[in-house]
Amino acid sequence: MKITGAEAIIKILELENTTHIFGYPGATICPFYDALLDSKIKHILTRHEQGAAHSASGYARATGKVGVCVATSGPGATNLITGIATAYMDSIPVVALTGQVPTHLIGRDVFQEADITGATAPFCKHNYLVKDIEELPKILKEAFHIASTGRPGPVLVDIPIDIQLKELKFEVPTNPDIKGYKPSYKGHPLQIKKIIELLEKSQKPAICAGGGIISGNAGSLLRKLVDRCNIPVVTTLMGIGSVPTDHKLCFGMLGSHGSYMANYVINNADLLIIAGARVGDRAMASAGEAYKRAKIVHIDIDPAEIGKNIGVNIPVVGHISSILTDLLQVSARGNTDGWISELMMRRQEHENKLNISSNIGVPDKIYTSHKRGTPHKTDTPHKIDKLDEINKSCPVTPAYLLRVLSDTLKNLDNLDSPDILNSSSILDSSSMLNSPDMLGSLNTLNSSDIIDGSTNNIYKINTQGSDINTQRSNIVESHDIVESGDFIITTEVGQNQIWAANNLTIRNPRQFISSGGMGTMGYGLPAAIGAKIGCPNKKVINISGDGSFQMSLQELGTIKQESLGVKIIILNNSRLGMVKELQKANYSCRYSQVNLDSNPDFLKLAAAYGIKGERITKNDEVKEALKRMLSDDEPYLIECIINPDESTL
Amino acid sequence: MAKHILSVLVENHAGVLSRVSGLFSRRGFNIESLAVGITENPEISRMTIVVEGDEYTVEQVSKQLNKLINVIRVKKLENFDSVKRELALIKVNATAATRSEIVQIVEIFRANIIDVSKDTLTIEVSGDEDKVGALENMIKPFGIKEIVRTGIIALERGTKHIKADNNKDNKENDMEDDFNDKDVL
Repeated sequence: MKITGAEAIIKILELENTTHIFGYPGATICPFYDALLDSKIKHILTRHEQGAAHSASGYARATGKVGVCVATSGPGATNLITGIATAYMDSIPVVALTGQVPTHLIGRDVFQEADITGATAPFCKHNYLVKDIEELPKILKEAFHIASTGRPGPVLVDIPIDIQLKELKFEVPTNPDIKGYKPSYKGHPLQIKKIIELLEKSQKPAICAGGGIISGNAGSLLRKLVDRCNIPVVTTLMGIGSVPTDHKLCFGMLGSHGSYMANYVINNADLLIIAGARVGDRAMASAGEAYKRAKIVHIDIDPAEIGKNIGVNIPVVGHISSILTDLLQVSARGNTDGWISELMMRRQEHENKLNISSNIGVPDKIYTSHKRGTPHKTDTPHKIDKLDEINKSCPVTPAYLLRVLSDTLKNLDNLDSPDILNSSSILDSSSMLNSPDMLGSLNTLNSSDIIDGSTNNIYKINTQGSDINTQRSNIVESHDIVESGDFIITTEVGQNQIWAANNLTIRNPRQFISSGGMGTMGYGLPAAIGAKIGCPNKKVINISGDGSFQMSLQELGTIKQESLGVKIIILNNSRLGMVKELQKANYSCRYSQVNLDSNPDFLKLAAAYGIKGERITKNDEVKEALKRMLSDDEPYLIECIINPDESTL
Repeated sequence: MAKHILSVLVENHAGVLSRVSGLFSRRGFNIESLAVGITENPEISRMTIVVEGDEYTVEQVSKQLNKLINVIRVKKLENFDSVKRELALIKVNATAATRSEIVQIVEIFRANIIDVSKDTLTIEVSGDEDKVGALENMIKPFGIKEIVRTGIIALERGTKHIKADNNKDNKENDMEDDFNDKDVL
């Protein structure tokens, strides 16, 4: 049966279970858009190609499927580059399809021609320029294969318009067999054995969980390992959600903007297991020091990452799920009780000193990593008052707002309950167990029980012996814990990102979506759109700053067109907050171009797109505003006026 | 800076050379020379790359090269375990007076004269780096007009060979063996 190239593309997309694509049409991609009309694939028209790429990325991160974005040649393709680079740095599976001028005109500088394959070579896992119509199905199949296997990443396929119009006899391509691409999945058994031996002997182990845990769908395996061997866990920005942030053994996010306890754990461990993390410079500024202090185990599917940023004692290359499954054969756990109780005590002390949960980002002076010559002048650590005594009439405090948001999201079924949001439930790191509707049946639960967020079983830990007794508690049958946790948070970049990473309670993988490696402003809103398209039944909330919001505010049009219930919180300090902090720390407060006093009225802007919203200026307005925002599934925008001097460090 | 020779098997596609050189430039690796040509299998080309750098650099270069989809195998060739050759064409000033001297030197090196004119001689020399360098030094006093070198090509000694087998272990396994030798408990 003869079909055109464009129809072949659609066929392959359907064969790969693509249900939604994001894109923007143009001259050289018209045949594809024509064929799209006869397909069941849903196309979401964004307002900028960068939005299409970010939306595909957000969709991929929320659903685990490959995100697909489409653009025309020339400027359409070059507008995708930032989105592709963002996906590359964070290892997100995205396939980008771009139109191209006819094959006989390539290289002649014709209208809207751009060498996109040359331009994106540094930013994608691989790219293709289709020159032969017969190769098109095989190339597309390979593109999906490369994007989604091994270490995921973006793949671009450039299809000239004459190829889209040519006809071919379509045959379903066979499974790809690429000579130069055979990622290994099974970890080397000798290495696994060495890790198990180390685990059984180690007194002060720690696990650093990165984005690889989430890409590899290994969250519950990691939690099992943590519980079985009693190992403290810290996460990178990309790894937030791999273990619940309120798990008693989770000590928060590490790094220059991370939490005090997380950095303390890393600096004092004697065995550091880096699982699915690439040891970026924000996570570990002085990786060399870590190598001197502790034994390093590095587990990653990409062999090039091992040994790149940190010296390794035991490297293991393979798929994280397979390796963690092998590690779970560990029979007895090492004697980590002393280490754990030291950490618990220190955490408690830190909390008491600052009157807040120390999983939040308020690092002590000593642990603030600072590379320039002069020591970083944090006066007293930025104190947040006891939350029930918080100054209700000062401008909105971001940490407070975000923690109230976490609490509100936990109790989505009981938004009108008067017991919600009492201060102790925010302060307590295992506050979920203390929320009112659980208290009645809690006789058998104690703080060392773990609720598995993905299956909602409650595991009872028998701390006497070395085994874990798991019994399904009858609490699960009577309380529907699932719905109250079903949300996705996306963030922009800068202060809002750090506050979100450090103050939100995230209990599941794929719940926290943020541009880590590239730090692209304008990522959050289109990513939230992609996440909402992929998970229409979840609440999707974008945490944004006033600067980042303006980088992709045109995507409000997409929200209106698709009637998406995306919630937007703008933390408005009329500044480019993070740059301002850098200038304060490194340039003696010589502020250059960080002033955004000419911001538009965001509410009027939203109203122009038919999106309702409100503005809050004080802390005592927070609770009600969040309740209103989450009360339905309509798009909503909350603009929070915050103090320009609020800082993340 | 130490020099290392990498023998890389790549798919014979348009743009592969540009991908490899792009990789080197954006990661900041220093290529001293690069020679590429088709192998016994017309779909596969072999690149011989001479990299300047320390152990860490070479390890990163190999691993990043392996990540490229078009690259099939990467093998670091050790000095003692491989044969190396380079070809150079040297155009040197040669008047009637100096011509015979130059011809003598060329004969000693078992090189060839491939072009002669009133004022110049063009010499073809092949051999390892030291031999080519030595001839160049001997010829320098006469005044070298132009010199073109191919860059080193190399093969492993003995029966070992680098093949692009589909069914054999994947390329990461080469490095896994390196890992096992290197780690310390």
